[in-house]
Amino acid sequence: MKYLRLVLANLGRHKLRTVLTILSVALALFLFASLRSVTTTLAATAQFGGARRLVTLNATGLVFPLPLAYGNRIKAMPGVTGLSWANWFGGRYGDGKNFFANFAVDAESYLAIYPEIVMPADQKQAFIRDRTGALIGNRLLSQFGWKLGQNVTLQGTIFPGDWTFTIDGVYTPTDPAIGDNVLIFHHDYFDERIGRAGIAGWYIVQIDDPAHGPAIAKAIDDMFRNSSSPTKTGTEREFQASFATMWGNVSFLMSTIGLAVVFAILLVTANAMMMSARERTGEIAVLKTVGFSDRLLFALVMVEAPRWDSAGPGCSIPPLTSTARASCLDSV
Amino acid sequence: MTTSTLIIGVLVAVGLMLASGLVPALRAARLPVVQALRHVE
Repeated sequence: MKYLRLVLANLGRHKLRTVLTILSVALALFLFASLRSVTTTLAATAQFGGARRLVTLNATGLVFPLPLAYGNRIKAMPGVTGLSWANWFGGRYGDGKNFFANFAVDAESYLAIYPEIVMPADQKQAFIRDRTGALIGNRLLSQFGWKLGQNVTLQGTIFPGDWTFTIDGVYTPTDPAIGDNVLIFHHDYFDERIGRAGIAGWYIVQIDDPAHGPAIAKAIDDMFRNSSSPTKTGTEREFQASFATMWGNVSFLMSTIGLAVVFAILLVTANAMMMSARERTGEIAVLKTVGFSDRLLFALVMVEAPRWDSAGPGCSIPPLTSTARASCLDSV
Repeated sequence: MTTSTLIIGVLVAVGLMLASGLVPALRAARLPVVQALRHVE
């Protein structure tokens, strides 16, 4: 602590260099944290998924549908206690800047399989009864200022046209892993509008015991292996993770950019440290002459480094100001 | 930002501190006094 005055006195040297280095280090660390946050957010998304739910989709890819006739065959399998299906809609609201997930579901079976989606009983019944109704997460209500009973129009991107839905219910997820910014609507209405009944985007299969999951998944895939639409069944968690991997190996990309940013910080900091070290060769000699040991000087220079990294540059032992000189001489 | 991101950020900063400060600190410690005094104006 007795060298604090020396350290503080040195802070004022090369103010411009100090400010510029602080800004570059701060910006680089901000980028690093932002990139890392993208990776952790994607990882958190993949955590979503009940242990008792499997997802069956077309083995070729999510964009290829499955025949609705598969449903009854899956439901009849041992270990399967419930079944529902859904289809990605991909509509956008307004200018589309505030994206939220929206998809068509078989309402009754879907809500039975997802007990985490909670809403008042009357709203649930209203949604099930209303063919053009929609169920939304509570965040959408505050985000867009929507009201219960209001009509909202989505612009279809995959399925063009204006799609108007009535908000019949607002749900609150009991599990934070389930999004509160999702809009779901009836698969029947979806089929009617696109004029292509009898398809499902993916099946959600409820099973009796999570331990039976791998065996049931294999049985489902084996059943449809030689059909026109072979299936790929996995846990709901794998299904969520597949959305992230659709973009490619995002984690690797982010990690690589993050490392490049860290390396850039290292170069900036090392450069600033080396510059200031060269500038004070004479001062180090004076400090040694007045009694500073090699070990103490080593420690003093090392202590400056955190200031370059946390507070910025300009903090290396600079030419001694009168205050610093006094401080040095006091400490010897 | 998650706690892990915060911790990794701190570790990165500490790692940078050590990496960038080590060489100048060693140079300062090993600097011969007589030779260095020639730089004093």
